[in-house]
Amino acid sequence: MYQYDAYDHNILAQRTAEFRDQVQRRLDGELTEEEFRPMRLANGVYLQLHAYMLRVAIPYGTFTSNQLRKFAYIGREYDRGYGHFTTRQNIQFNWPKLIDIPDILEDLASVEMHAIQTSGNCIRNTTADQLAGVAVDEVADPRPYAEIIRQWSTLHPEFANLPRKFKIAITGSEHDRAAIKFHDIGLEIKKTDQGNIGFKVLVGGGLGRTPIIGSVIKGFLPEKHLLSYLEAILRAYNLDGRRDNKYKARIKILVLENGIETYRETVEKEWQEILQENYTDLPIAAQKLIFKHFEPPEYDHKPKSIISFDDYYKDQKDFARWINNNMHDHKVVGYAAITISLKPIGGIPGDISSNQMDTLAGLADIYSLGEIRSTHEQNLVLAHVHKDDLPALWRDLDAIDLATPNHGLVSDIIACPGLDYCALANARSIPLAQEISNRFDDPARAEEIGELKIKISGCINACAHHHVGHIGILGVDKKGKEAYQLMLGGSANENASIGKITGRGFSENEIIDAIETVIETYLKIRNDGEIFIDTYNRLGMEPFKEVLYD
Amino acid sequence: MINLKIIDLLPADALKSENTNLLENISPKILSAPKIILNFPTFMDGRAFSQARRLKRAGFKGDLIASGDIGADQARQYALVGFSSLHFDRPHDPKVIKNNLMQYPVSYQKFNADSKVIYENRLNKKTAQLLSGGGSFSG
Repeated sequence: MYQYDAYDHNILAQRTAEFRDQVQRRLDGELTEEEFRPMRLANGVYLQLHAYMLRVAIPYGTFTSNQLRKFAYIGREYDRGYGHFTTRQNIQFNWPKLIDIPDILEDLASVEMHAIQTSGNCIRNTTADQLAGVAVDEVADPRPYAEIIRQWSTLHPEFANLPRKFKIAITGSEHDRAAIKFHDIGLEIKKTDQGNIGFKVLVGGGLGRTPIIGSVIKGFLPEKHLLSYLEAILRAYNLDGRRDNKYKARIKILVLENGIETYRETVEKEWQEILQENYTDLPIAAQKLIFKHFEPPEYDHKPKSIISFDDYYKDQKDFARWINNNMHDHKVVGYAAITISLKPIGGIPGDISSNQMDTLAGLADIYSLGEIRSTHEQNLVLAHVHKDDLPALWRDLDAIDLATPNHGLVSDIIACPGLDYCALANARSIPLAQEISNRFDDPARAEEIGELKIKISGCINACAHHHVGHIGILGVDKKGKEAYQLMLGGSANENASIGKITGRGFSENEIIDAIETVIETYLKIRNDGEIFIDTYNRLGMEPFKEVLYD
Repeated sequence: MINLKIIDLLPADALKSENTNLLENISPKILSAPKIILNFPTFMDGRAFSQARRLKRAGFKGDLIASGDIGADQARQYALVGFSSLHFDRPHDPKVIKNNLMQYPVSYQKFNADSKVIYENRLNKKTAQLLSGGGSFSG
């Protein structure tokens, strides 16, 4: 993975010193909160319902065991002994004190990490497929391109005050695990018959108050022009995106109002100018330097395991269940990628304790080349595990409650922090996720139900992507009481769709039963081999509506 | 260090460009103006950053003035996109501006023939010794 050179370190050191000075000026009263706000946001510091929150960037969701140990330390030293993984592959700490944040940033910088641009109206962390570099269906590894974007977008002076935040996602596979159709820019790596690499570029996707599926703005962009084309999109948006209404300021509204054809022409014209100027695209030699960091590792690990995978799989049911649900194929024979679920039954989605992080860092060193991935579904992945090591890994993970065999199943729920933490929320999300998880705690029943994506947002801002959940839940305020709208039929992958509301909302007491009713109905009416979304796509809303509101 | 003038009064003879002007087609009259003022009506409104880039790209050689709700902590940002003068609406600390202009002597982005960009340092034999890493999983 990418390792900083002195230039990268220098940028971080200066950034940390700059923010330390700004925090001091705020504490001394030289800066008002209004003046300080954009400065703290540019460094990932939010002011939430009860405390400050620090969001740390994990570029394209890849990090090392040492970086994980540092998260554990920060959680223990400055927080309440845990961290929280987000839907954008980042980690956030919910209880730091403002005065401590410069020290935390210094700790992070010591392991090549930062919180730059994890908030504010700027280009945020570029997210990627969590199986990047190991997926069997991959055209090319998206991470070097994400790193190129990371460097270009870091402290970009022109795009620091865009109309609204700006999110880019990239995948190297046609099967989309990075939800690229719901990002401001989505990139899919393509290879021509002649072997040339480029990108299908989507623009104007997003969730929030107005969920929109992104449109293709360029069918094939040659890889060498990645940055110039992104710059053209960003400049056109910065100049012409709406600034009169915060809720209409995302690029999706600009594209919607102008039409994709017109927007494409505007971008094309700007792009030609940028190409002539020729300052933006990275020279091939510079690009090669970045690619060097992403060369595939030597897969020459000699497992020490004394248990045979096949025997253990036959004899140990819980292990077999975990393998069936949480293991992914790997492009190297004999290896596998493993999802580590951060959704223990009855737990808080995405949370992990400092003790778990420390132990997991050790396991990553032993079993997975010291590397960990975070996913947009708030789980973690070990991407380089030898299959013969899996029994031992499973036992070690189970000992720290990180072997829940529920990846992609009913209890693998995405939830935003909701009213427990967030100043914007109308309703709580976390307790609801916990109740659903407890209701469906039987792993055999969960497997019977099959793949099911439940997503719970505590307000219309849709941080948990409820519009694209097979079952989506939206917290609303109904005359001062928490209530929940139910949506069915959303999907965030290459068959993107936006869920539809079932009808009137449900009270806190009713919503769990309503979800169970939907699931039981699906089990009754599904055809062989169907998962929930297939049944919904075949029969639509009616059968579910009938039983929900009879 | 980058040079940037701080001015107390907006020059009366300067051309004012509206904040909504996309500057797609820039007339010779604009290009030959000695001074142009671009406005930041609120701190959060970053349109003038891109307007400045377009003016510089088109060949504007005069004094490019950033005015309005601008911040001392962002001085370097204004300079990088092409501004040569700053006119503040609110009080500002010259020390903060000076410190800010000395920050980040090289950046990840290149804006003109003279700007110092990290990737060029990485490719230049004399400055490439600052490189480290470069091997996957090489701890």
